[in-house]
Amino acid sequence: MAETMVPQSIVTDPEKCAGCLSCQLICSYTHTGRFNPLCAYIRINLRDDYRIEFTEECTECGLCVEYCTYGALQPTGEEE
Amino acid sequence: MKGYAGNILFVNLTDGSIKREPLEEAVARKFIGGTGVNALLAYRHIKAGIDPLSPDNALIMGAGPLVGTLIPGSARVEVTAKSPLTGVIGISNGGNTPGIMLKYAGYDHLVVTGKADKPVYLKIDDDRVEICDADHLWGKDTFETTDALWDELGDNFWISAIGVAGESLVRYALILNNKHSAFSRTGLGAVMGSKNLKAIAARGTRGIEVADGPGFMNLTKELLDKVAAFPLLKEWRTVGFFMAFEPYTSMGYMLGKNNTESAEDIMERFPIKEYLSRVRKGSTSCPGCSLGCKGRVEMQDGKYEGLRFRLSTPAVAVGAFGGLVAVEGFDEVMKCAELSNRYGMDLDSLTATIGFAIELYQKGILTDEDTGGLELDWGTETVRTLLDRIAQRDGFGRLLGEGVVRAAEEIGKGADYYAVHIKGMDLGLGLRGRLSTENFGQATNPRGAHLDRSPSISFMPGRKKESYVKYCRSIGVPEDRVEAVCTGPENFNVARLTRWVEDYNTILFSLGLCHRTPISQHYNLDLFARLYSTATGLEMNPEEIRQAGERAWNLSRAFNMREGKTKTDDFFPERLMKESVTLRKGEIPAADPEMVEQLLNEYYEERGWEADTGNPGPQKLNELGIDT
Repeated sequence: MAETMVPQSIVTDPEKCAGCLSCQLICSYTHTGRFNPLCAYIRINLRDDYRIEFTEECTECGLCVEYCTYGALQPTGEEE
Repeated sequence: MKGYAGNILFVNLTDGSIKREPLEEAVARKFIGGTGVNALLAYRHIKAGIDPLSPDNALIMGAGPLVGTLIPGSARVEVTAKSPLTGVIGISNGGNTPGIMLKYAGYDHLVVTGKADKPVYLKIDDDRVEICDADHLWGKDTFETTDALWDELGDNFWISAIGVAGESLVRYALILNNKHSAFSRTGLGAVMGSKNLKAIAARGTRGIEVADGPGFMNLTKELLDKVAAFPLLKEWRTVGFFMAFEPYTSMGYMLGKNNTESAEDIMERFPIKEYLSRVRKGSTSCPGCSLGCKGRVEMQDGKYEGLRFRLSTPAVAVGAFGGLVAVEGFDEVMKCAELSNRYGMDLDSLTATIGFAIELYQKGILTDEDTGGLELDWGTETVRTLLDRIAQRDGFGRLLGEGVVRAAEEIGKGADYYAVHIKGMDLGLGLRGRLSTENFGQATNPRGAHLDRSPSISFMPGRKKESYVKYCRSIGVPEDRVEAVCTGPENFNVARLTRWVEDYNTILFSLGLCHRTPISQHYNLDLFARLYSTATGLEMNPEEIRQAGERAWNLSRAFNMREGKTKTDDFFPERLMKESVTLRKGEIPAADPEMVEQLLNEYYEERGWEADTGNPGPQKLNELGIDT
């Protein structure tokens, strides 16, 4: 399993995450050309708490933030 | 063929064989995927007359060509088998399911046949498909089973599990996915139980490619923007289906106590303010969906303080437990909902069956001798007792685990009159009073009473003719049928419109899309064709797409025809044609049998089916290229 990192430009709030995985879908499509949450550089753990993590490959491109409509991912400094 | 994973996985639990076959382009074009291809596989692999709980039944899971992408609502996966509850084609559709991972692993469809000689689970990990021992899982509830498999395999596997009710062959047992999203209806959990199949765990690393990336993403963004701009988005996320309570109860579609009395007090008994402050903690969404209409329950105080779980439709749980069997208050309703998910029972059929039993007991048709000394009454005490006993098929629970039709046959004494169902499936909405395609479609659906395939703009009264004409054109009604469809006191003929709405919605589900209004209102047949071609690279015009929906619908009816079903099985329940119901605004009369017959005849005519049987004839099947 890839190492995780903490992005400087993204603030996460698992309490708001609904588990839509749009962040993973846009990430995997953009960076691998295929839709698949397991290939994304952001991980959402669907098990219970919808924990949010980023892998070392994350470039902080910000697409995950753009596609999050639940407020679980927000740009640093702009979080509600 | 992009968009598709390209394969069908066959697993025979009797001999342990596992094989893969390609999903042929000709099949994809004729049946699209999901619902449509499932119907074909069911017709091919389930012989007429088999016992649904025997190894001869096939459990079929199917994900359409848009499933697993970012298109709004593209998470709907369908499971099909012969239903142990109804004896006809059993269909259940869910949103957050391993069917998506199945597709990422390389399979659009899974067909499980046979029966394992001991409890097993199916592990699908890309090319590695294994039938694994599940002795350690048997007897566990759905939450425990899923957690155990996550501990064993890792959190990246998505899990379908049955609970004790599936193991004990309750005929309305469900399959629970990732601990919250259910294949609820028609008893497909019992089909898994009959095969000794405790769970399906899937993980796929391949993913889905689309044919025209820029075109597909342009459509995706356009649709995401439309959903985001939907004026009631916030309400759908927070209040969800509670919004439908007022129209549903005031029109008599949603009733209480085994559908015998008004449920108009339900919003007073279950205030939305209390739901938002004490019960609901947040939203839960299906993959790729920006609507988030599922709930995250966390009781803030009271008897079950700290009770936490995710629930597909909290409002449906309130309508079923709080309405049909009169459980008191949010605390007890949510506990019942959690238990029915843990045991793995469809809460709609469960409450329909319990309500039926309570009414029979109060009428003296069931006695203390029948119930083993249980006194049955409306409310929490009886429901909690029966919930446990039914799941375990303990004592009187054995009978109720059979569902209302079989239970009525066994009870005799006229009990069948109180079993309100169509083709063995309890109703989702009432059928007295005003008919829209949504409630009328319960009669004509091959699955039996089923709402999801016939919602349309006709639900809201008072629309102008121009609206219906525009709507008809958007779903593919041919020009020479528009006038006949858009006629009548409300500017639509419910029977004729239902036919076209069914074809259209069959495509919606075959593609793998969601029928919830904030999502589905942005689609139309032309858009289906564009989405299909950009995703798959296969060109199909809107009429070819529509006809694929018609083909799947006819094949599902042909499945039932093989089981001996005819037009009499489409008729409204006798009770609804004899008894009126009293609402606050006055009485809603019983449905008129002559009107019902006329509507059904118009429906068969619109479909080009045989008037005497209500089934597609050889000419129709031939026209659609269906080889029976």
